[in-house]
Amino acid sequence: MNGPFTHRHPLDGAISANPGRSENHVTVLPEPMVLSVAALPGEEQAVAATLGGVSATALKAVGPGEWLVVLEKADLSLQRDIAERAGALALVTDQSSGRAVLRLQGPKARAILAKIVPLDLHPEAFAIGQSGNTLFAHVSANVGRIGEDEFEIVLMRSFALFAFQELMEMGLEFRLTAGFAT
Amino acid sequence: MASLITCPHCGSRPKEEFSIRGEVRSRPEPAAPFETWYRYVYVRDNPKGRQKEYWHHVLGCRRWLVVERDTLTHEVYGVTDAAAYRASEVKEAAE
Amino acid sequence: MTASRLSSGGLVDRSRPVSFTFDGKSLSGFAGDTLASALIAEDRLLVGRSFKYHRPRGVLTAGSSEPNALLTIGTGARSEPNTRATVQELYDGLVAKSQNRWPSLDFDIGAFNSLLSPFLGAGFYYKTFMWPKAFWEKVYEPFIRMAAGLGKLTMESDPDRYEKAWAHCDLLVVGGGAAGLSAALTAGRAGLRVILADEDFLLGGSLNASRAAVGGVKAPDFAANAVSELSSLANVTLMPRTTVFGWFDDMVFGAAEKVQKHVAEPSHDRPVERLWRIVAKHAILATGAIERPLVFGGNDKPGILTASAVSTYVNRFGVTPGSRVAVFTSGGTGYRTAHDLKAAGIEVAAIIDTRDAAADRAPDGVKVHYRGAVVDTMGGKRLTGIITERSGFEEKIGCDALAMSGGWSPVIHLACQRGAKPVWSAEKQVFLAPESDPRLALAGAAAGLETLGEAIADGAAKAKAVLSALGKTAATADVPEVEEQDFAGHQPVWYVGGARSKAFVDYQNDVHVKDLALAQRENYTSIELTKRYTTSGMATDQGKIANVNATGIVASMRGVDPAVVGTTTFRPFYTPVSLGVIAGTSRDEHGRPVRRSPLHGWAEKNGAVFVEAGLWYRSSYFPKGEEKTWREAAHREVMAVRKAAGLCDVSTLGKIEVFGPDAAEFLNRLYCNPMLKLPVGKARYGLMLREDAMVHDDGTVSRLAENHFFITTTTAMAGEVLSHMEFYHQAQWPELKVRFVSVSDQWAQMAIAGPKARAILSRVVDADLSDEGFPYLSARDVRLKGGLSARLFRISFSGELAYELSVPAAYGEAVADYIMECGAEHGITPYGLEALNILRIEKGFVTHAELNGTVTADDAGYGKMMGMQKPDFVGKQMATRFGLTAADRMQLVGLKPVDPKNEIRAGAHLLREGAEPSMANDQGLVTSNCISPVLGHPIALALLKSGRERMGETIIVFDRLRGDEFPAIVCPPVFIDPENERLKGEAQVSPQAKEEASR
Ligand SMILES: [Zn+2]
Repeated sequence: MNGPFTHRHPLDGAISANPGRSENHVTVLPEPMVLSVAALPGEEQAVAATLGGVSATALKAVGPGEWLVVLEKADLSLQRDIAERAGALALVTDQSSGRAVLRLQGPKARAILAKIVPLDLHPEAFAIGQSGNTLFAHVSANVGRIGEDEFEIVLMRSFALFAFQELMEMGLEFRLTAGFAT
Repeated sequence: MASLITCPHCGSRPKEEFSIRGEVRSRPEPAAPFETWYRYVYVRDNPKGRQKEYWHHVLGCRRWLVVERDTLTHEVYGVTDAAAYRASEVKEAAE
Repeated sequence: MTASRLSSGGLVDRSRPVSFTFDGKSLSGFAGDTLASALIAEDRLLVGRSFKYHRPRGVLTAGSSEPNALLTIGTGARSEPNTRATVQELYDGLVAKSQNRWPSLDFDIGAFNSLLSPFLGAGFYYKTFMWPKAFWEKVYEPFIRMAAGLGKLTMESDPDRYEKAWAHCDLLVVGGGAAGLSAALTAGRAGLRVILADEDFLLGGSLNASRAAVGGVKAPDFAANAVSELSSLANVTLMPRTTVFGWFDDMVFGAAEKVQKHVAEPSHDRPVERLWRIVAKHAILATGAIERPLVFGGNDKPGILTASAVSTYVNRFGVTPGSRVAVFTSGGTGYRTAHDLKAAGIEVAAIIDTRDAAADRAPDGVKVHYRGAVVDTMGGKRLTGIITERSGFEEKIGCDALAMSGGWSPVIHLACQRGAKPVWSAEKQVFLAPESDPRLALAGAAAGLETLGEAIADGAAKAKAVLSALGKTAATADVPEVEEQDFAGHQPVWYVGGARSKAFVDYQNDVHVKDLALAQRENYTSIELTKRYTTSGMATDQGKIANVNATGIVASMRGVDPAVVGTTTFRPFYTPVSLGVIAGTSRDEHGRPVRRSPLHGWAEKNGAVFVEAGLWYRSSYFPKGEEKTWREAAHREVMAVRKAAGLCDVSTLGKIEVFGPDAAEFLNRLYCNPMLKLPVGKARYGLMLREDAMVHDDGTVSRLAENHFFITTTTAMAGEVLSHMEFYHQAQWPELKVRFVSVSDQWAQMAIAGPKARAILSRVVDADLSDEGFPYLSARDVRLKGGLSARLFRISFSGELAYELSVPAAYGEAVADYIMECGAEHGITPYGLEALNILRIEKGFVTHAELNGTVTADDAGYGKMMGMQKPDFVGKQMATRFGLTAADRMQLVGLKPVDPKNEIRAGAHLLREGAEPSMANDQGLVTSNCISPVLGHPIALALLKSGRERMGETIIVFDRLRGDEFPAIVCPPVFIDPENERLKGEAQVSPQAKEEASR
């Protein structure tokens, strides 16, 4: 549906083609689907109910009545479903192009993030499925726990390269590597 | 170093995630007298001590909050979502 | 050789020798040494010269309160001045240099200052260097700096990395000594998330210097066992080499961790230091106590150390500062040291005890002089003996080191950094921290306790209190038994009478007792004034050694209790913290974020020169061939837009989707112009005011569906406008059913402008772009050929036929490439910010150069646009107030120079012809300017008093900074195509406009 136009990721060129993989690794999703769902005032619960089909780790908390649905790749039927069920009660916008999605995984993931985000990421304080918008290096990002040692980071496209470079720098001491998901 | 604000939506967060607009003022009715508008736009109490302030959780949930705190000691007495605060204020005025 | 390494003992690793240099001389120590202990082992007691009198000084302490042993560590870009040798971990290849001496430590010309000392008393520079005024900068200050300077900064850029990090815990324990370890064990065993931080590289605190038995093992072994148990607990984080330097709001603590300050060549993968912000639910300060020197004549000779320092060097490091050591004490501490010396086989010359009598037992064969006083010391660069006086009888005692103890001051600094004032305890004769926050407790020596047993029990008790506050219970803790000889407390003697030479209070700043007396005589009696007048406590050790003694001395002089005198104010940082670690990663390219447009790659390919605009990198111009200046390129780009077509990246504009049944009402209240009746499929210029009626921002509002709008903001104000909208919706009008979300990053947006724009876009967009099919101000969802969803707007910021096309950002570069390909035959040209600026100035369109926060809608020429018949909008109430409707307000006008050779430059002021250049005569200012490629001469936009009434008037453009002063003609701000003929495109362009454009 995109005609002759090639897709460009904001981290194209920033990740070497053959990155290798240490035990601490950033997986960059090449073409994720990111939907923003923002409920009209008073419709927060009704809209939340329409998102029941989205897995806990894919549904990111942004603010009251506001979520990001983040999937590895486009799921047009889910997108249509959300638009149909929530479309009258919420502003649903496609942000797939506007966000970069990174998965930071490894035994030192938390130690690396401690240098970038102010959140308490101890599993007791931040369980699998929990997420939130927060300060990330100097910018705003959504950080969520998607596994015991795995976090998903949703960055604004324009800041993605900067934030990615900060992340990699903070990962130097743990030999952090990065590559696109294949 | 840091001060923390407990956002009712996001939990405890450092002040670096917020921007502060100053003391809470509810916008007068359009038909309010000029003096009321004048005070709303230009005049601030600037107390040393307890004050309600607008804090915007700009790097978090992007909600405006009403933070009641001591401007001298930074002791925080309470944090409310600004929409809930406004709604309760309107309700009080109606009663 | 007098100071030396003992043949055995200590916690250093004698199997691992470490070599280092001091002032160029190769020396060696062992792993586990500090630089200070290694220097003592090499009989290097003289380590520096004092600040003012350049007196020889030696190591005084064994910890972070050290005032004397300040050395420069490292070489080249890594040299770091004023490092305390007593906390510097020894490493192989360490290079240390002494400071504040010239030409050498042993022969220092500055010591001549000592002879001048009668003239260098307290306040000397206030008195001496007052006059003449001009001498201060040129003569006095350079002289003082040269004579008194501390270590020198390297002027090279720091090659190392620093980081900042966050940590969170239930309990932060500051200090890893007896009380701290005990607290951490109690809390850690009960499962709390515990962080234990200590500035030392070896946890254990005074346990490591103690010969006591704890829990049936030697004290250092007890510490090591505790540390190994704590390291085995997953919920406990040990942070050695980490100084907690401050207690801030909301239980946030600042700490500096030395990650690689103990290696010669730090790895670039790790920082050398890390700044921690530790968020703790509770904290226990087990920060110990600092031993006070006794203040007596000649108390600053190298070889005179505090008693606990002597014990530490002997017991922990296996070195002794002398072979025959005298002890001078006001309490039991000196006796403990005497026993430590004796146990290590070192001769104790005598114990001079200021008390009348004591229960403390001296080692066998050591003579005790009760009611004794040391009144002077002998030796030059090294102590050779002391002179004591008792009941009028003088005695000389030969010794090469003196261990002195004036008692202990609890380290309460952190607890008092947030405004709480220390409280004098008459019972313990110490300042204690008041209770100021239930989440913060002090334990052990920091709480005024004196024995190891008390400290261990107190640490456990304070941790139990934290457990119960957090709703947890402690495992049945067994507080270990401590076997130690009893020593009595101290009876403070603030200064020892009969001094025959200077008795120093603040070693680092060379403040002696007479200086404090002078301050009292001259009425600087408040301790804060005494401090500033004498500089006592103002050195880099911040009075750790001096302050309590100074308070006691001032109290004695004033005949009052120390409680009356009080202390000076405690502030962060507890010890000096490097600027590098405070900056953390925020330097060079990490200093601030960089934003990149989705068309960045397209711009790069087309040879853009980028400019930083806020955080964005934007294409400024696209130089070609021989073009040397931005102006040559920008003029070519402008003419391409006016004659053919250009493509400009406008992705940086703020873009917001607004949705809901009240969306139109919401926008109608936010913008000063009406929005309710904007038809679906149409765009409109929108002007937002602030509540004070000044223009906030401008942009476009497009209605995509009945309850769905898309608005744009300027690049600079994108964040501000979103916050502004959120504020009005959430804090003022929460009843409105509307929701909005930024889509700024989702869309790549490009302007395609020029008479050929339609022809080019027709090949790209799958829609009827004719004037009928897509008239001016259309705004619609479209598809590109091939199916890509996009949005097309027919809006113009250049005055030409123009479109703005939005496509999903990931495809932006490809679409831009494709448009360039399709437009090649029509001469499409990329254009940047410079050309964009010229195009809009020629058309009189305003930006934030004009909308500078003092400009109303009417000032900008948009007065008629305001929907004053609307019941309400932001800024309506103030728009009609006195002052904002005055006739002489500055209004937007255009300017042309009378002589086209004169370039009018933004920032210049406007004056009436013949008027004196003064603020009173100021008529306005130039806001934007360019040389119009179309008109061929300079033009400018300006804000001019009553400007709209002054068309045709000659006015003076005045700019003293750049030497401009010439006449210009006031004209309407629209320089070309005032009838907007060109918006219609090629077919409709009037012959006149065509001629104008081709000129
Ligand atoms: Zn929040």
